[in-house]
Formats: sequence, structure tokens, C-alpha cells
Amino acid sequence: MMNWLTAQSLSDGVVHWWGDNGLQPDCALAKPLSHDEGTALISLLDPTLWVGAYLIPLNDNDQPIRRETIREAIRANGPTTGPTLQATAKGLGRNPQFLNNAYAPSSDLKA
Amino acid sequence: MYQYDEFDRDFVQDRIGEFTDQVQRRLSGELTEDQFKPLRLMNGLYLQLHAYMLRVAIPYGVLSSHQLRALGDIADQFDRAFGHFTTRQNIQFNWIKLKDAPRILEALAKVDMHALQTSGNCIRNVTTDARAGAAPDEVVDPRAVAELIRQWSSLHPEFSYLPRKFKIAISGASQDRAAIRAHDIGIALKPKGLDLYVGGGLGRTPHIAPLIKKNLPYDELLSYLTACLRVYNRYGRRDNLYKARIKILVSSLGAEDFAKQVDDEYQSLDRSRHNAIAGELERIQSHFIDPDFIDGGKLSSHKDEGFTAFIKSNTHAHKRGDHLSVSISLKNRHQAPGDASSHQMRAVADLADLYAYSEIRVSHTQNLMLPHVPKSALWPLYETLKDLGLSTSNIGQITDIICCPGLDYCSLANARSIPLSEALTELIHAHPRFHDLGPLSLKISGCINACGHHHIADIGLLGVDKQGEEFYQILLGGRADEAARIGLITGKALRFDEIGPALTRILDHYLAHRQGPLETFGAFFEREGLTPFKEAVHG
Repeated sequence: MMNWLTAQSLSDGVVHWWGDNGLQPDCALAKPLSHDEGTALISLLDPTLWVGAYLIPLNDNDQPIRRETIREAIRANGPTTGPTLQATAKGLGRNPQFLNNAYAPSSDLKA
Repeated sequence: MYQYDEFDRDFVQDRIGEFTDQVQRRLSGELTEDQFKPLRLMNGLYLQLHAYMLRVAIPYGVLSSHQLRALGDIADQFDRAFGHFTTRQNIQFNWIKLKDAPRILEALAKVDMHALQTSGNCIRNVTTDARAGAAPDEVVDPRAVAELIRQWSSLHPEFSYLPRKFKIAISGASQDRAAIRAHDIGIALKPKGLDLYVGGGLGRTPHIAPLIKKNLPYDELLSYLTACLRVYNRYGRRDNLYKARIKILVSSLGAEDFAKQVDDEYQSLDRSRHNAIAGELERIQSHFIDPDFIDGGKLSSHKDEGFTAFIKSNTHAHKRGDHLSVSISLKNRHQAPGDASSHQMRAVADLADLYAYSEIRVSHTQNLMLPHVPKSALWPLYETLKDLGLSTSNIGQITDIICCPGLDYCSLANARSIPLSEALTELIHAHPRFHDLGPLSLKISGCINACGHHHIADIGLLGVDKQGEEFYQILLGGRADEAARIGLITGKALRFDEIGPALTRILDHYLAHRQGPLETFGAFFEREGLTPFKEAVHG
């Protein structure tokens, strides 16, 4: 099973993802890693720069597995409601990721 | 309200200095995250889904206008122009940078505020009735006792590393508006003594606290609390996170045995060393004197439908006949329950200065309140609130939804709470038959930790995760008042899109079978029980 590596910047808590150029804030550029690769990279992260690193298991389509989907979609895109609706995606100037999965903005949900 | 003296200010400044140094040492690598985490938590700083979250203490929910204004300024300068008021009468800022935290604490200290003990396994912010000092059914003003406990418990060396977090609530009125029996310790104040309920709590294993001690003299309170916490410290399950709260200890020992152990400890204490020094409670009480009340006059006779609804729903009787307490609902359409923008915070502070003796309260139901409003000021106050989008008339009604931040912000959550509250609010608005249901509480928690108090609601919703999908369990028949009880689970959890139809069936069943509009949902549930509702929800 492949994985994404994610961590938060120590000084401001901003969520980052491992891509071709190391940790960067856009999940759209995240790169699948084997478990061993990811674990090795986590052990090399500078603890004065990064906090809360972990691996996100991916399915065969290189998307977070179902159990992780909603949480990771919200981390990647921002809240699904309120004044910071999709703030992360908007801040990066891109559309929200994983919209084909469970993540949906509040306005699209009906109870 | 309580005014800091030099000791209080030095105390807070010392802590800021200490935490500033700890942040610097973390950023420089001198401290590891494992070493730093308990230190930042002791200062209310969490690492959440999107950023750091800072939880600021609002002791027993009392704020001055300049404090609320300062919170608005912090929201602008360090967050994204809003804050979230919680069920512990605190405020949370969701987009904080670690490097800014010391500056925020400095800004708080300038208005005699802090974030101490808003997290960690210590005694948390003491909560009480938002109408303290104003309600006509109050027998003892709880604020002085709450402040005494705040001072006693702040950095208490013996109780800073308890088996788990510890929450105390106090009520001084005939009606319990502080949900005291859902707390680790609930204190009911009476003119000549206190009753202590110990071992309540929500979360994974909800319990309603049993009565442990009756008629405790006021000057013995701190000794008795010491004895209680010592027994908890000694026997609380530090080996098992899920069994570490005092409710599990009280439940496993039995209330009688627990009370005996506390009493033995209490008798063995040198109480003269543990009680507050003579005159301390009176000194604190002297801070909680009434404002210089003006002649409050009479209510305006404006014939305005919205104003009439506002009076009926959002005003509460005051101990002075010419004043009212006024709730400002933070449960407005298109705004997350408990959220307030920086603009709204400053505007409410201005209104408090203009019409309410500069005092504001935060309720555990996530609303704001102006405790003392002259009746003659109600119309201009209402008009301004309307302009601010803060005149929603729904206090105590089904759309006055208590709701935790849920998975949109919280790293512990299993499911989203805010979008569900928004969807259910829209559903209620779309169905006129649900517009006048009378008092009815709806509370949502995004996980078993129960920050949304879903166990003690007429209708409670608990978010659960099932293989990556958000499901919600429905509980019915809970109560938070003096007859507190835990709601009963109706059956299997439902999908997000199934909750609206289920709620509709619950409300329709109630409307069809109640004995007239005066029979509340709670009374109806008491009479009918769970079974017909189970059938209504699950068929």
C-alpha cells in the first residue's frame, strides 16, 4: 500500500505534504511513497521545523483510503463551512481535492 | 466583577514569561515535541487540523466590555476575524501560529485574561449560571465561590497532574442553569451551606453525579475539595485513559463508599491549612457588587412582531423589576453555533457600554448575555442587534443548537457537527409546523468526548465514524437541569442525509400526540418513553 506523508509546520501549524521538492503546502502535489520510504523520511524531518508527521494510507487510485478521506480532505482543503470555508484550497488558488469522495461543502449537504 | 490586584497580574505575567521561554526553546530545538506538548496544553494551546487552536479562559463566563473588545482585536490580529464560544464558557481561536502565542497571551494579560488551565489534566475553567447576580430565583451569587475556586486551583501544586481533566460547575439558583450534575463536581449553593455532587460527566461513559455531601459550611469548601481531589488522585485510574475520570471511580466504589473515603480524608486534614484564609470569600464577594442601577423604566410599547418574539424568547426576568437579562443568540442562520465575528464582538461590547453597565456573560449554551438591561433600553438594543444580525429569537428553542466544532476543526472528531446543525436549522425553518415547538434542546457532538453535551439534550446527536463515513446516533430524553438525566439511544446510527427525515418523524410524533402546546418535549418523553420514538425513527 502506498502512502502520503503529511506534517504540520511547527511555527504556524500549516499542513504540508511530501512532494517532489520535499514538504510543501499543497496536497495536490503530494507524492505516493512506500511505507518504508515514508517512515524513513519521517525520521529525517527536522523537529525544529515540523510536528505531527504521519503517513496517510492510499487506495489503488492514490487517494486516501475511505477511513481517512473526510478528515484528510478537510485538512487539505479547509473547513466545509463558515467564514473559512475551503480556506486552504482558496489560499493555494486551486479547487478542493477529493470531491469525488465524501468531502462536500456544507451547502451541498442535506439532512 | 472581579478586578485583578498586583498579585494576580504578577502571577499571569510570570506565566507568560515562562511560556514565552518555553516556546523559544521549542522553536530552537531545546525542547522536543513530547516535552513541549504538556507545557503548551497547560497554556490552552492545541495543535488541531489546520493550525494551532488557543482556548482562552473566561472565568465563569463573565466578561467586561473592554475584555470582549480585546478578544475581537485578537481575532483580527492573530486569527481570521472570528472566535468560537464553547460549552465551558471559554472562547477558542482556530488559526493561531505558535510563534504568535506569547504575544496573544500578552494582549490577554492587558485585560486581565489568560489561557491557563484550559487544557491538561487539571482543574479547568469553573462554570456557572450565565444569569448569576441577576436572576430573581438566585439564593446565593455563585461568582464569588467560582472565583475562590479559580484562585485556589490555579497552578495548585497537588492538583496540576490529576488522572484526567477535572470540571467544576456551580449553581446558586433554584433552577440549575449550569448543568452541575453533568460535572466532575457540581456545587449547589444554599444560604447556609453547599451541597456537593461528585462523579458526573459526559463523554464515553456518561454519569449524572450523585449527592456526596450536604450542607457543607462555606468556610470548609476548600478543605472538602482538597479531600475529594486527594481521593481521586490516589485511586483514579491513571493506567487507563478511558477509565481515568472521577465518575468511573465514584461509580466503581459506589457513592456511599466514595463519600466515606472523602470524609475520612477530610477529617484527617489540618483544615486550618487548607481552608481559605478568614475573610477571603468576603473579600472576593466585595468585587461582585451590583452596578449602580438606574431607574430601568418600562418596556417600549412598539408594535413590532420581531420585537415581541425577541421579548418572549431572549429576555429573562431580573431581580429588579425594572431590568431584564437579555440573551444574544449566537445561533443565527449561516453562522456556526457559538461563533462570533470580531465585528460582532466589538459591537456587543459597545452595546454593553451603552445599555448594560459594560458587562457581558457567555453561557454554557454558547450564547452571549447582557445580564442587566434597563427595560427602557430594550427597544434600541433590539434595533441595533437586528442591524448586526444578532437578534435571532430562539433561546431555548430547537434552533438554539449547542454544537462542538466537530471535524471541520477538531482533530479528535469523527464527524462534522456544524454542517449538520446548519442543515437541521434550515429544515426547521422550512417547516412552519416546527416553528413553535416550545422549549426543546438539540445538541450535537462530533465525537464521544461530548463537547456538544449531546447526552443531556431533549434530542442529542453523536457523530460516529463507520469506515470513513459520517454517521450520527440519536439520543432522546436527556436533561441538564436539577432533574438531570442521560438521554437514551434510539438505535443504530444514521447517515447525515437520514438525520433530517428522522428528526422530522420525531417532531411530528411529538406534535401529533402531545397533550396540548403546554406539554414540553421533555414532559412528553417522560410520559411516553422511548419506544414510540424508536418506532418513529427506525420503523
